[in-house]
Amino acid sequence: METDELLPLLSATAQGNKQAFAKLYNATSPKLFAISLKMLSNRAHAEEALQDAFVKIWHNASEYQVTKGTVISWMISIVRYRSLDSLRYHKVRKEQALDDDYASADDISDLPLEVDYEDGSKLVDCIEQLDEQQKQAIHLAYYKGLTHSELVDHIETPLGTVKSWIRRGLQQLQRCLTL
Amino acid sequence: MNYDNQKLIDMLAAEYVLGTLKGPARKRFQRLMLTSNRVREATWMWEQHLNNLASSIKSEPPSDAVWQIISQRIDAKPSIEKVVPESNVIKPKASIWQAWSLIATAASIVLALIIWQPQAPLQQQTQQIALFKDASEQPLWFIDIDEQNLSIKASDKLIARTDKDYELWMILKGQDTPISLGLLPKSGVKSLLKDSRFNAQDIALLAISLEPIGGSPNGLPTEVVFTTELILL
Repeated sequence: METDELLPLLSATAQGNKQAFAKLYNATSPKLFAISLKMLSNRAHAEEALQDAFVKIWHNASEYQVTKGTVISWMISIVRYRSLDSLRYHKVRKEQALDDDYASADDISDLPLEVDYEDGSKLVDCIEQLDEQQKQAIHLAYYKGLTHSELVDHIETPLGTVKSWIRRGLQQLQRCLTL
Repeated sequence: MNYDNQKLIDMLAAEYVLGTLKGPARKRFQRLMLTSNRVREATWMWEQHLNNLASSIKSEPPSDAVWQIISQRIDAKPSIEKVVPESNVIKPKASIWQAWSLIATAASIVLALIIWQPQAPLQQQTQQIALFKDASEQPLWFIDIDEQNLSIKASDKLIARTDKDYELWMILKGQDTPISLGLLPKSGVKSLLKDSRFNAQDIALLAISLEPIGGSPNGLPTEVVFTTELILL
């Protein structure tokens, strides 16, 4: 999915062209749904988040600008932020009602994460240079939406150490990315 | 916290994008994005970088029903805002005018209500208003929201710039992109059709930006000059 392909579709969407929006949806929804599903571990919640994200993309298409990054990155962000909101909403709801029959939204049975990058972006090179703990903490936060305190539970490491792994990992990433 | 520190901005932006910045800190950062180009740019940079991580996630098509629902939702909620010409503005209710003359008192009462009855259920709150004031507490714009429209009155105290327009925005809870609600009147009253996403319980903040004539050139606030919260009566 190159920007060359998506940008004209997004531009037409911004003009209210629903056919272009449908093409944009077809081109991107499998990837965006997979991102949401990995985070939420629940198809119904992920589909709901995807719906909300695409409705937002329809309304906000004209707000996209190249300085915000590629079209697909802009769309991924919209889906991820919506999925994060959903994840936290359902977690709070689950805590408030222990007999909630929702499927587990914080299912992390597939941890530790096996990550296999498809492309060789600079970020991938840089992230491979991180310590294993830093990399794991950043992966869990990005892919599963885990907060600092949830990382503490799952990595069984004190909060200060987890925060430090993330902060130092991000600082190291930034140095590597700007080289 | 020193928000002029670029390293701090970069780390907050990174943790915002990653998702580990949460709760009140996440909301503060979203507000900061409204007013700072540096913060917005740092966030976009991290989004562009970290979203490369998504390349490792294998695509999976959603069910066909998802597109059907999206399609119905966008058909049901047209995105184009409709600005009613000033000559056609339906005169707001008399209560608006009364409220305007007593707005300072009203605002105090509202604040008192919020303080004294924090647990008041939302469904009992039937009127929504907002008041923008300048640094010296002079009222500038009063907004009364009903089911369909935002009725906006510019105060006599407002000394509007003739070379700029003023644009109204809402920031929804948990979302980073402000949504334009339309241009504000520099005098008199104007009515804006309420955006379909305008829901009091979802709104974190209202903001006014200073824009070139005609409104924001890029869909984002150019320079946020005033912010306020929606008041529920």
